[in-house]
Amino acid sequence: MAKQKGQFIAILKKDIRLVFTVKTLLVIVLVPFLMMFLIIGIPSIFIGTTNVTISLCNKDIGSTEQHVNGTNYFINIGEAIVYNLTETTIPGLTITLVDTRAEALNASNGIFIPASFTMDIFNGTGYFEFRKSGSSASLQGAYFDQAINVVQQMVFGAFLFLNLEVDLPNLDIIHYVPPDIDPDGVWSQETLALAGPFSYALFIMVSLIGNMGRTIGFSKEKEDGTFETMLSITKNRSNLVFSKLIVGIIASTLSIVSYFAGSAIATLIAKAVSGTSESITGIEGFLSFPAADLFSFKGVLLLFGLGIALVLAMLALMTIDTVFSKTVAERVGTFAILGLGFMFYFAVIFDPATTAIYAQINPFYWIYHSFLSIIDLSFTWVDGIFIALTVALIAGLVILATKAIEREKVLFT
Amino acid sequence: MSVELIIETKEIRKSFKDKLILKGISLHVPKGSIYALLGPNGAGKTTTIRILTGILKPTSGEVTVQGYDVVKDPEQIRGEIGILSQLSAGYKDFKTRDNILLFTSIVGVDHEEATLKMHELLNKLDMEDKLDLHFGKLSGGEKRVISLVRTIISSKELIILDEPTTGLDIARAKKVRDIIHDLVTKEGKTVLMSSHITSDLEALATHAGILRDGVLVFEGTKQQVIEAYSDNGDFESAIINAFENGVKADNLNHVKLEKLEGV
Repeated sequence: MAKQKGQFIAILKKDIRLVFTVKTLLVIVLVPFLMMFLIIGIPSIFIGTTNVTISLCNKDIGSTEQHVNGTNYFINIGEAIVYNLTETTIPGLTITLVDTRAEALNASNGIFIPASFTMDIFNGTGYFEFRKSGSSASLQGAYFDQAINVVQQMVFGAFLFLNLEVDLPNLDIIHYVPPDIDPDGVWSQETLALAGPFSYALFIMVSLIGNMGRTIGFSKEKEDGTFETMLSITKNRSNLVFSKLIVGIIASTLSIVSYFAGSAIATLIAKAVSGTSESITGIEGFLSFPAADLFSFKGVLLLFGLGIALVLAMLALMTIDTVFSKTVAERVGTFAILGLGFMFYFAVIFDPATTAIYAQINPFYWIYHSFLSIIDLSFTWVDGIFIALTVALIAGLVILATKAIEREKVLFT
Repeated sequence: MSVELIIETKEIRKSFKDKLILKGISLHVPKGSIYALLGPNGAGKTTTIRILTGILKPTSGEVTVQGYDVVKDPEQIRGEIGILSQLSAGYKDFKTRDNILLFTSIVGVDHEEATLKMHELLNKLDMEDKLDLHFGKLSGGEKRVISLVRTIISSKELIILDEPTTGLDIARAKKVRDIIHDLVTKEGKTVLMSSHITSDLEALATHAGILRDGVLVFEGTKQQVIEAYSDNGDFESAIINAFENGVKADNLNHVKLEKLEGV
């Protein structure tokens, strides 16, 4: 047993050296970093003309207020907001007026000003509702924030006009719950906000591992001719599979860290470019997780979910490597992982809470769904089945890979 | 005269799908010998070697290597034999020294001992200057030498070499032969080798088993091969005759263990 343990450590050292060369480190660490950096950060610097369309519904009936000199004036802040947003050209913003609250708040970006807005403002408790799709880190989000600034300017302008020497009113900005999400959906809006970045990260990381499969799995060993030697000198051949798996997990962890580092730095750049003053902790992005949340219970769970997805992808690659020929394995392995990853992302990108059949047959969806449900504390029997399926699939792949490597066929495949 | 055998097989058969590759082979490799496993291309040499090393399982028959039952318990033999396969295997992106020491560490050879032996062997083969080159940068012959050195250092009692000098220049092939000879005469190891290079066989083989179409047509000492198949006492012509006119499996009963002479 001690001899086998010593042999396993030696194999592991070999595999670590095999994977962590300068070339592969560039792919594992630099690519995810640059990818996120380029996707989020650089476009915000160069693409300055992206427009955001905001559906605006104003129901404000106004209010008669007294000037400090005693004169009464009819004030309608809602109309002032509409005028300023529609008649003044604000770079990046296109305003569409809509009639109903539902139309405004069902749109990707919308603002609803209620009937009592002006009255409530002068009573000190004004509010309005809005729905914003892009994070403040994105260009869309940054442009949207300009409209919010206009609303605030109009409120303060009204007070200045009346020359009221009172405390400025408390303007409650309500980030409206998107109403087009299925009300029967199991997740809260807070959880749904994480679905986008989680699915994107899962898709990107799985695709990366799919492309790295040749190096991490057995294909390179077969190409170098060392596979037969390894088979002939390894007492317990399962160790060959487990060693590769551990190295794959280390590589994946590095990739994940690099991914989020790139994302965080790019987000800072986007923030600086968009000129918003929100702290980094408040960012909710379509592509990037809230940076500080990564260290919370939810963040750790999402990272764990990502890890499970990567383990699944690597095991699938290794099993294919041991069952099929080198040429077939290289094609089938990469195709299977990239295909499943793409199908998963395609299924959830438009509807994060989808329950479509084509989504439910995808193992990455099982992980995505069950982990978001755990985060949401709305775990159901369906998630139980997804977790059971994931565990069974991982166990099945481990058994298949370790059995297949014991078969003589592995030598000729 | 009783001979201690390090390899013994009984009627091993091996088929891939419906094709019978080995048709009942019974090998007897004496300890301390250099046993040449010979045969024309496609005779079943590599398949036999893979069975002896536990990489393949025979369809039927018994295989005992160093006292271990390789069919029932192949794990026991893995890592115990030095094996040089037909391919000059190595990690292209690793330096030569790493290619040697990584494998020797996997089979459990002490690092210092392996390093010492590596320098000694490469010095004999005039290849010490290649230690810091990447394996992928070496020539075919140099890769073969590195694979051989790695095999020798990893070996314990038994070394199995599949065409060890293929691709080597004459001078280096001679040095390799000397090293193999020393392994047996000075270190008491046993070598089973497959080769098509007559000079290797002439210089090294003490015993031979001749395969043809998956059948062991003859097994005996080198002298017995010559006596059985050559009119002029020449080993090379004996081998050629054996390849072309070897007896059929049914007539192999005359090859008895008693005919094998100790080294």
